[in-house]
Amino acid sequence: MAVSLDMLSLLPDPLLIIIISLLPFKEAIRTSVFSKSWCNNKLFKLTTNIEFNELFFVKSYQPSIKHLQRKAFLDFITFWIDNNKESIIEKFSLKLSMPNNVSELTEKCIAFATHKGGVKHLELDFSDPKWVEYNNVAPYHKFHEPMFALPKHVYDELKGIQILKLYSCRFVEKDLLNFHALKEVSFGWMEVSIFLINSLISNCKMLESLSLKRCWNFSEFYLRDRNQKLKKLVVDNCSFQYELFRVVAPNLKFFKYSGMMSYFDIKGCPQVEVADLDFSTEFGFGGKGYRLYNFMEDFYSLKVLTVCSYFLQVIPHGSDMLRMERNFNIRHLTIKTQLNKSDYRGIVFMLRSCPMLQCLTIQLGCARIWPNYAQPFASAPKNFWTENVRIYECLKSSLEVLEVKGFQGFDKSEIRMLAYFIQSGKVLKKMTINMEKDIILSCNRNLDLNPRKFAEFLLKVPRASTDLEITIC
Amino acid sequence: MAEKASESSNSISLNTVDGKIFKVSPTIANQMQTIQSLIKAYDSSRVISLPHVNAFHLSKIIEYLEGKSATTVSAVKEFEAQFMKDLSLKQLKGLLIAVGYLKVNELLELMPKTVAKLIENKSVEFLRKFFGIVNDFTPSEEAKIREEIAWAFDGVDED
Repeated sequence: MAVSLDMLSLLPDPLLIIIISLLPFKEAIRTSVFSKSWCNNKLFKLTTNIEFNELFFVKSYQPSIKHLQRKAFLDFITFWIDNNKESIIEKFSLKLSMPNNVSELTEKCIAFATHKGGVKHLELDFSDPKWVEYNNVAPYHKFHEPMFALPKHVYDELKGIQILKLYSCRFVEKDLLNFHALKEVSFGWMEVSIFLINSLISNCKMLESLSLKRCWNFSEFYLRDRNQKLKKLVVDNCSFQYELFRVVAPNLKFFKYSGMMSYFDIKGCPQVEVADLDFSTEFGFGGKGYRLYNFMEDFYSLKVLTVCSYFLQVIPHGSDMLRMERNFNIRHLTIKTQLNKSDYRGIVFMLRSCPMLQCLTIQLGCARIWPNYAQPFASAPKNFWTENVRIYECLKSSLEVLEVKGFQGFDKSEIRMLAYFIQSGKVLKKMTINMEKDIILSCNRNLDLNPRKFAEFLLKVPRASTDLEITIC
Repeated sequence: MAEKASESSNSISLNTVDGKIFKVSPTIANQMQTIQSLIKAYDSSRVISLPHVNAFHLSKIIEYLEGKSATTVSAVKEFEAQFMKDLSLKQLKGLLIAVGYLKVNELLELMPKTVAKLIENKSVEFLRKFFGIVNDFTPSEEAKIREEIAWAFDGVDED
């Protein structure tokens, strides 16, 4: 029999295990189908990166099928744990809903991951997928009690942990403070006090990244980083007692916030370079313009910014309808919009305020107009992009790249706006338009919606820049 | 330290399997753990022969060890990215084996990442072709294994 001389088989096993461990768990498992030798060696079982995710198995909404799929998942975990007791694990992730129905197995799983003490990255997610559906509509939280508690014996074994993510998993606060190697912490679906957050930051001197997802507490959010180590802060749909959101983190570089429009005070974060702001769960509009404008005034360090449609609708309602008082330093701006006429003013506001903008990404989708929206002043939306706009500084001197994602091509306003950029972008070099996948399919069926037509139209628009390349894909 | 002291003294000669002699500085040689232990075991004036490493691979390793001492972090990253990009798949394989044998720690960290990126999110058929793996399963044997781990194939585009 010919010996297979493939690349991967020639590599010594320790190297292969390193490679397999770098793959997502699912893909490591798939290597067993490569060939007989791959199947028999069971190298995938030596992966140091294990991910038990209920959602890999449970796909159905139908209770009876769902039940069987969950059983298959639990059987898989049981089999794996029983057969790989000696595994060395560096990264372990368990996503399991209703852990109390299988508490013995859950405990066994956690013990399996931690008993060797070498785990560096631990993720335990006991949240219920149903909660997301519920919370997507309402900005208010239903406060679920944590579904499971981190067993007492593991605290000692987790002393070397670097990345810890706990979702709906209760823990002992003072024991967590002993994890001095922590670099990254993520909490979700739990009450997390600001006191704990600040104590973690001051105790764990390596901590660089903190993420809170659907957490809540009943005090004011006032984060203070005395060690000046925190680089990344993510706050995703959390709920705090007061509307004031204060952060003092002198070395913070990355800030992502989604949720309600609070009174932000981030004067203590002078180095933020990348920010992503999403207020789409907000329901009120009135009077928020000043809040947003004042918040943005503390953000002149930004280089990369992502904003939502709400931001665009609200920003011209602050102290100035036209632009920020000072120029932003932003090089890459991403706007998530449906290009409703209500967003136009905000887009132009940002073009005016970002004279050094190099790249603009327009992510289409997420249509929503907030109640009691009013145009800052009257304008005819139809002619907006021909009559109400000028050629702003960034279009004259810096904007080189324009990307449009999720393009549909039916809406004339989309085409008018793109035509404006083609006609005015003097230094524009690259314009990429990504059609939405579903749209391409429906276009194939309906010749009236031929994207080619639209493409031909855009290609005919006179160009301000001589070396502009337009790609439609 | 001993390595520091020998810095100014003679370079170390390495003889590859295809008969080329490389002269490298002790700083470079000591970053290959296998060679480091050979130097300790024998006297450093001897030519060290490397039966599993050819001239191309050794020259690449030396190129890497010299290049990655760039001044800034971003310059090193850029150099590493270019270094990996310049390698063909065949070269990557051979080099990885050589690196594994010589125990060049930094490359042992960098190269598996490159390989893992190459195989991430690809279908089994693609990967077999890509790496030249001969599928010696009968269709029914393969179907059976796939059935057993069907969940791991969910969401993969088969081609």
